[in-house]
Amino acid sequence: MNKIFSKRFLGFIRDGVAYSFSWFVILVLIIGLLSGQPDIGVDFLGKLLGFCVLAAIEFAAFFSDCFIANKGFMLRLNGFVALFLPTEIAFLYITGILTGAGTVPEWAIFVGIIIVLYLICVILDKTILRKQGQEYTTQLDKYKEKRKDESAN
Amino acid sequence: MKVSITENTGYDETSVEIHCRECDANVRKLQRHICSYDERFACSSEGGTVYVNAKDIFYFETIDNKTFLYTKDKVYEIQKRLYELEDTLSDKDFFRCSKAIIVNVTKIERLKPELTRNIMAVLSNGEVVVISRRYVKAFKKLIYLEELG
Repeated sequence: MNKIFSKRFLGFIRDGVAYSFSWFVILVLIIGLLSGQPDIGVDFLGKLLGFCVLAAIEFAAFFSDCFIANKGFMLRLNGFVALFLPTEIAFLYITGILTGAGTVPEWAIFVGIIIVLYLICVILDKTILRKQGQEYTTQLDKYKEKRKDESAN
Repeated sequence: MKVSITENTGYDETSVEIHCRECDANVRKLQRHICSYDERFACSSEGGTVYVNAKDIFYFETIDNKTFLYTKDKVYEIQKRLYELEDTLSDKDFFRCSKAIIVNVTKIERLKPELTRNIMAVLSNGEVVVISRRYVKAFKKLIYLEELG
């Protein structure tokens, strides 16, 4: 692992852990306050931190260009989701949020959240970003034409 | 600026020497201009040397401290660092799109922004080069995308 590679990869993990851990703690606090249990145990925080580190490593593996270069967003997203799902399920069991086989509503909520988040990413990629890409390409073509004229003169 | 030409049949090749009071930005620009006049790059290829025209280059890439030059369907090793190439290449046709790559803008066929804020640049030979988010702003400025908002 060369220096630039490891610096970039570790930077992704550092940022990922910082963002995800902060947001999860805030979310857990909000849910705790709303349900009348505002305390967070040290044990839970430790498990949450471990989960965030694992999730950040998985995210960096697919999105940092250190392992997968020159690949599109959809391939990265699918790879990340495939790796992240087992991690997430393991976290739910380790923290006791899910026990045993779980109930149908519990799994329905879990799968529903995953599908909604996945669809948001896909829709953004396929609609807004595709349109933006067409605008960029049009502008690039204009620039190339301009350069061609300049070279000819 | 004084320009003089000295002819001598004893010279092996044409050389240009700049005499100046101080090597400022203008002198460097002049040097770049002279260097880019030839617009050919000497590359190593199977023990020999091949010269590649700048207009045939798709991109340069650094891998493990070695620099490679990519044409439509060939790859050559080149004995120059990316920062050295940046100085000699036309900054209107070639763009440093990431830490490891300088791409020929005229060879980009299609652009696709990503949620990660990178831009995927599809070249006319089908290869894909990533314009890293750190360089996206400069790229938009180059092709006047920023003016469109």
